[in-house]
Amino acid sequence: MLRYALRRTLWAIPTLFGVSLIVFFVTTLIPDPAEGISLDYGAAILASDPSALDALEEQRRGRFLDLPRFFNPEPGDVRSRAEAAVAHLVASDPEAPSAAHRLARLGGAALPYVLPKLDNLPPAARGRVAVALAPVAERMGIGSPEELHVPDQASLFWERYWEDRALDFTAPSVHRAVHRLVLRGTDLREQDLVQIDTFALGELLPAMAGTTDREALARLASLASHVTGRAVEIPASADASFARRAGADWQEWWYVHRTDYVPLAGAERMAATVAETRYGKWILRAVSGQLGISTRDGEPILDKLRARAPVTLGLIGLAMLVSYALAIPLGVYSAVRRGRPIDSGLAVLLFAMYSLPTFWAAELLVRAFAGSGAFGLMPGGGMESADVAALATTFGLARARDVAAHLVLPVAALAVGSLASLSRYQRASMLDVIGQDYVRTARAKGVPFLRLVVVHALRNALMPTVTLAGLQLPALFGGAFIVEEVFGLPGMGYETLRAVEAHDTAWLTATILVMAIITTVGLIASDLAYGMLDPRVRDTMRRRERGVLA
Amino acid sequence: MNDEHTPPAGTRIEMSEAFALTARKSRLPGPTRERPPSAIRAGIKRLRKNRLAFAGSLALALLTLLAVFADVLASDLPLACHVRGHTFLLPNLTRPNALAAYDCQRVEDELGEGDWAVFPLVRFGPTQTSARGRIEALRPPHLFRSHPLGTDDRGRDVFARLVYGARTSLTVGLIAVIAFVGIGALLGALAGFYGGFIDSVVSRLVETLTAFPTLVLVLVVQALLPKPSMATMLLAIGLTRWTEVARLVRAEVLLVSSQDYVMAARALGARPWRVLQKHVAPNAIAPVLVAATFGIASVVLIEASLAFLRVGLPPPTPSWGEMLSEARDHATAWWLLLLPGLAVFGTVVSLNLVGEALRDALDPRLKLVGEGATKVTIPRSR
Repeated sequence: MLRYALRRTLWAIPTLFGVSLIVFFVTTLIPDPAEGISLDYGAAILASDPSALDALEEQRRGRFLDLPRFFNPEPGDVRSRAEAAVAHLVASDPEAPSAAHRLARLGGAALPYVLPKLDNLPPAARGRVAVALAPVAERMGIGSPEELHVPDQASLFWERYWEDRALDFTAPSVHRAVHRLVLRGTDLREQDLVQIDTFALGELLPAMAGTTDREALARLASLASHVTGRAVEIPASADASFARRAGADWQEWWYVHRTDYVPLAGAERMAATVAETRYGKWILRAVSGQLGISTRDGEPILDKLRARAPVTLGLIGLAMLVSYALAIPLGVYSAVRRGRPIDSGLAVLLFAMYSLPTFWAAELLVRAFAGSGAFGLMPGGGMESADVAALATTFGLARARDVAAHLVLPVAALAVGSLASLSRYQRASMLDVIGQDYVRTARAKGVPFLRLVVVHALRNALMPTVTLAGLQLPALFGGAFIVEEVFGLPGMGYETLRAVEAHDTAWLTATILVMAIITTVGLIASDLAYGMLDPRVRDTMRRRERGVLA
Repeated sequence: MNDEHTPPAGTRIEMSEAFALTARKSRLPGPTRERPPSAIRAGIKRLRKNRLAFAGSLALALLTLLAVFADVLASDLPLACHVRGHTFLLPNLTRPNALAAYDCQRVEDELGEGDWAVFPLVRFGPTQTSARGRIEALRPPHLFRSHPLGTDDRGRDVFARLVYGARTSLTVGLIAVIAFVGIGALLGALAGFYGGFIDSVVSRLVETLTAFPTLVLVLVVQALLPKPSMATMLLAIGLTRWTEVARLVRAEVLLVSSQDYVMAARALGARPWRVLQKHVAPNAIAPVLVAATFGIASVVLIEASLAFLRVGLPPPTPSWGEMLSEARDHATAWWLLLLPGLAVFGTVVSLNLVGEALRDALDPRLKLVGEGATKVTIPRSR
């Protein structure tokens, strides 16, 4: 049994890989924002408004569109980016202005790769590179305008700077500096970090993820936003949810931009040929549990899922429970009463239920039973009444009753379809078992009818039906989407439809990924249950793997 | 007992007579002379006896007729007319520029001496919101008025929208099913025939796609695409729903390949293609046909559900699901809730009835096990 379980679980790995590939393929359907913008036009935009092109590039990078799809033979890091920018500046080609812009954005992190080589450049090129670095010095708060913007003086300035400060640009010193700032933030310590500009980011961002101290977080965030020019601060006075959201925003940015500020070396460089790709970055982020940030309201997708998934999964679980609780007795009963009017009547009813479109069933239920409907027995929309939610913040009996009342109709609407198919299935499998010799033998021996049905027949007839639970999941997910929309339940489906309206691509891709993973797990669980209950299934699988046809 | 053929004792049998005897004998029904009724013909015979299935097929036929002749049943222009010295034949299809600003009402009003017009059953098109600028919104049904089934909140005729909605539903259903049956049959046959690596790839792909709820996947794909259209929806459905057909065809290929007669055929030098054509296809056609019938039902449901969630086909396309989603805003307009809902329900019921009857009729193997239909097809998506 253990072998079977292990084997079945291992088989899920290629499936999950396939799932990720399909969802990745779906993400490639989203249009590239830069599509249709030519290079000349891009240059024209840059000339008039550099920030417009920056925003466009940010958007593309957020979706990793700047990277190749599956394999990146030369993953870029701060070193290669800095060197490329310098090369453009040296050649003074048409791309030089945008290269200067890029170099200034790379900032302090690029200095260790630019300044030592400044000496080897011809004087004119040296001047161009040095002037391009002026914005960096301004961020650091050093140098005077004439020192920075006159080519000869600027190159002299940077040469001298590097002689003085090269020792600050080492990983251990930055690590110490950031650590000290987290321990006790003072303006002086902050000033030390400002002076190494973006070189500090490689320590700042991990420190931001690791600290819960709001004072430290505020200082770290303000430093990071100073050196990067991103206006995302986390003031210590802000409320917790804002801080969480802004923190997630910074981490998301860091995930996308890390290689702009950190060099890749050794094993990391090897791994980057696969990891620094569109698929690699996308799947690694998903695996690490960060699903990105909603483009609709800036909330982290994971937080949204935590709030929404319980509603959907609860709805599905309840619907499954209800449909099994009704389907099994109904199926058994109509099998036992085979051919009688009650069987035919049930068959017609179940057939109708099984063809009933979920959205129509839900809509009819609302019209008939909800608050303003014909009978007005049940509350109409939402998870709970507004007044109850306002009054009771803790879980009380009244609140539980209120939520339950709100869930009756949605669960009924969702259960209709699966109830019908399950009980038809149960009837068929029961008939199969009843026709078998051992049941006839038991009957001949005088086993009481009820015992015959429940103990002898049902035990075997239950197996196929129970293991169908996993297969029901895809249909139930689809149904839950509709039911949530009709009843206004704040689940994944409801959120997805709002995301469709707002074109929130991050949520849309995350939601199908999560749904497919849940379903895969459900299917495996279902197979495992089957194997546990029925040894024949295990044999079949073993034989199939040996190449013997089942 | 008739002794006609037994010669009286003692007489010599003439040679010619002996020949006649054998000739007559061979006319008797023998196993080699006549072919047994084909599985499909036997199936049709069994199908005829099933009254429910007959009703279902009748309903489907009616629906198909509605969809095909939608332009005759409801249109904003006459079927033929003679106005201002010109004769127009089927202007509702050809859309001549001369009648660009016309609708049925205006044509009728401007009929002069010697002019004539043949109007459709209902004189409104599915997207037409008004007649001569007068909007009649939310008219309840009245069979003998101009809007026999009422109008919606934008004054569009419900009958026209239902009829054109049938066209949308059936078109989407048929094309998507043809697409996924094609893909599924091809991949299933490849997997079953070649086994090994191809088989495991296809099987993994089947398992992978099974994990996606079709409705949600199609919804997300349609939402992400810059220009969603019917073609993209058909493609999305076709590319996700072929798994069941592939599984059926693969199983059939495996089953047939292990039969002695196929081994004999192979031994005699039959190519894989011939085996596929002569031995696999006739066996696989029944389950595939059944899966296709249920497939149309599920695609119709998916299309209607998407339209209901307002992520269906782009706006001017009339769809039952979209009509239902409009009904949500108008609690008192019962006809907007009931009519399109009944249309979807009726279509799905008919298709399921026909599918079940087909399965019982075409696949006698299922009849042999247990008492009745042992295999109940589980609807995968709604």
